[in-house]
Amino acid sequence: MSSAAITQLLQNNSIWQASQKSVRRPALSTGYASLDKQLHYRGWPKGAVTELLLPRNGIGEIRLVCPLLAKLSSQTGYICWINPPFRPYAPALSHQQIDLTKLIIIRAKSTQDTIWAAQQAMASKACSAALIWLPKKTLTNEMRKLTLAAKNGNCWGFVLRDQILQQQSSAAALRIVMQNKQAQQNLSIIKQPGGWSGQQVKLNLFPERAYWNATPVNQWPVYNTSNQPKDNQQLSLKGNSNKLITEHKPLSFAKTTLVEAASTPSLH
Amino acid sequence: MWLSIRLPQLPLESVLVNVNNQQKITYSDKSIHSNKTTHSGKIANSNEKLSPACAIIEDNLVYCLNQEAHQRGVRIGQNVTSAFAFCDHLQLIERNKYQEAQQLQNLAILLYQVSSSIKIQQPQWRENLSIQQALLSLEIGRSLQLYRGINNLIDVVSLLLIEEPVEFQLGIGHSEKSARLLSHYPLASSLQSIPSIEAKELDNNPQAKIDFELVNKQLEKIPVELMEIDYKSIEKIQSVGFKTIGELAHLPESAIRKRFGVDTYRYLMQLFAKLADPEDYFVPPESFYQKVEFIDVVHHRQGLLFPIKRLTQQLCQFLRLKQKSCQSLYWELFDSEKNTIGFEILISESLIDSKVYIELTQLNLERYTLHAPIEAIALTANKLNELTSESKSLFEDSGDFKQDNHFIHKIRAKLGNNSCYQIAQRQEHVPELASSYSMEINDSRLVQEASHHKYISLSLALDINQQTSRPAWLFEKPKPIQFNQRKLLWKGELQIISSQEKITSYWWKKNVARDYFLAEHQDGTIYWVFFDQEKRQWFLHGIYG
Repeated sequence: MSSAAITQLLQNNSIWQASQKSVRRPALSTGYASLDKQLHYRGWPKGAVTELLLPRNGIGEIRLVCPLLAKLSSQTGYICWINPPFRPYAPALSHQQIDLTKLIIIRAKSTQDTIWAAQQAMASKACSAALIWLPKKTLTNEMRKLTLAAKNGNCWGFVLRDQILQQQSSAAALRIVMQNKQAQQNLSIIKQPGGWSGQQVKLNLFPERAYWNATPVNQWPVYNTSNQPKDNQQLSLKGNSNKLITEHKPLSFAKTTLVEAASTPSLH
Repeated sequence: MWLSIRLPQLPLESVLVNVNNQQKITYSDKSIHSNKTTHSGKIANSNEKLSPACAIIEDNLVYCLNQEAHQRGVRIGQNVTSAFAFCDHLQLIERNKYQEAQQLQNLAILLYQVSSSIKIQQPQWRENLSIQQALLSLEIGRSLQLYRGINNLIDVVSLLLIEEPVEFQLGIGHSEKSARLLSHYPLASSLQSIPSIEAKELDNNPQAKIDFELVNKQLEKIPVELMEIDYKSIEKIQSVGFKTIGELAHLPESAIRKRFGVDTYRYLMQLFAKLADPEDYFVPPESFYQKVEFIDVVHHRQGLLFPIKRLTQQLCQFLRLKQKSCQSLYWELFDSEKNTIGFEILISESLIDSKVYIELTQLNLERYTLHAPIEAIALTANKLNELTSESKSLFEDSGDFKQDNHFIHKIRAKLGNNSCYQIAQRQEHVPELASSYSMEINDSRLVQEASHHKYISLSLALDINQQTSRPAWLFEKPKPIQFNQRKLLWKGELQIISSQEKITSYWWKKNVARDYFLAEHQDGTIYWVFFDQEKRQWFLHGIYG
């Protein structure tokens, strides 16, 4: 093999050289020191797809990526959430210092559309990070497509899927299985670029938990869930608040209150 | 000084232009060739044999025909039966005046960059006027300095027109009418009347004035039947024995007026630039609307691509001329069952880029199924903004990622307009009102400018929400859950792990009184639950993701 071919190979980022373990690869810190320590790139790899395998949605995966998203949202480039399982809640995200003007939520009906939208977003070079929620399906080719798109756009791609799929191979560069046990999140790295995998990390993604006072059941506030409390007269009226107002105000005012009440956000 | 562009084949071209682009290629090939060699302006019909015999008819009479048909013996003014007798495979197409006018207007928009004084002449017969062919006339006297001489200007005009699928003849005269008449003749003859000036002298005397005497000499040779007056007057002039305009013009003015009427007199005066023409210049329209009707119906999407490209290019020309950018395009497809498919395309960038427009149109088109063959397609653009010139920084310092939301518009074009949204925080105490959803995507460029506002709003937001953390996911509707006096039950057991947070608001409208808790599910997920004081019921409201 000629030397030109070798230098060409050495320039390829996807080839790992044992001798160059210390070379810094494009990555950005996860924001969790213990996790950074276990990753050979010392952070989330750039221009690659990271796969998070979860037992179910909502076990702290948003918290896990929040430090990265907060950092990226202070720079140019959009952050896309594609097909999130629930509605993201603005106050929580801005509390995590994410600039909401950079956040774009994309809804796609089919898996095919989801992949297409993700490819468009990641390859556009205008998108710094994309979080993609995929269904419980084997999507080997689709994962490869996403990897290519992330490489083209040189952005951070995250795929969130069910942990069942950890047995199947995937084109994602970094694969992490996430579980929560005893108020902690256990991450096991099953594949990562730049070296061996198999590391286990324990993270406390909800540090504020220490300030929550877990109260035993017998000290819970006691609510009478039956709809008609007997003793308190005011409480009995509370069940129908509109009625309460109409009884005390003139009739013309009561009409407007009723209309207004209809336009207030309904919970049920 | 006027430049006149005669478009003899316009009725044919305006109809055929939407059929295929094969035609266009053959046109432009040959016109470039002839232009380079002779610079005559009159385009030879050498390659016309490639296209089959074709003629435009109006009121059952042949109105316009191509070279192939002409060689077979078909002539203008013949009726349909005799035309078929000469050429049995003749393709006859009904004249479409609307498309002609549209094509003429497009050319005027195209040429507007050369001169802002353009007159459009459509073929017409009135009492004192007979114009056989469509014409565009440009006042070029004031454009000469910019183009540094007449030759450069004619080169520019020819290059612009060669791109278009039209045949044209050029003529230059001292008045609009003389230019129109001289456009019957090769351009070289009208160029003779312009004194050629060296490039050096041009700086001192850029307005190379046309020589009136020479033009008049040219005009005098022209036979009277080419005059743009009604044929009765021409007959009258010929019956007296005049053959050329020169013979007629040598008569005393009063005699002409007396013998041949005021209209003929006025025409001659305007022809020799002794009398001013009424100024009726072309004004570009305020908004863009164009419709293309197909001769053959289009059955599949691929076939629509060519007309879409043409219309988009025309739109770009229009936008460049007006120096406007458009926010949205509206396409309409008319099918043979009288149904209309209409769709709107939103455009983010303020750039005029036909490639972007076509790409977004194609993506949008994929969402529709064509139930019947398409007969016509129309494009409207009426939400026009001033084109803002953006100053880019000399050194790229925007980091790794572009400030560009084109991909959002692409996704919207394919997946529907409400597929992308943004969230924003609001100063509301009731949790579900504190997060709002907007379909408008913030332009990151504008956001950056307003970044100092952001910090203010951020600090305000912190006031309310810093002390308590909020769940990352919020259900659209709170889910009612069971409480059996000992445990909360929802797909398993929930245990309250925090103290309560009371949220009470909107007592003046619809009372909201809730006690919020954090609850840990037996599988480890942390939920946000509340007890509704109004409904006396526990609810699940969010997840700490």
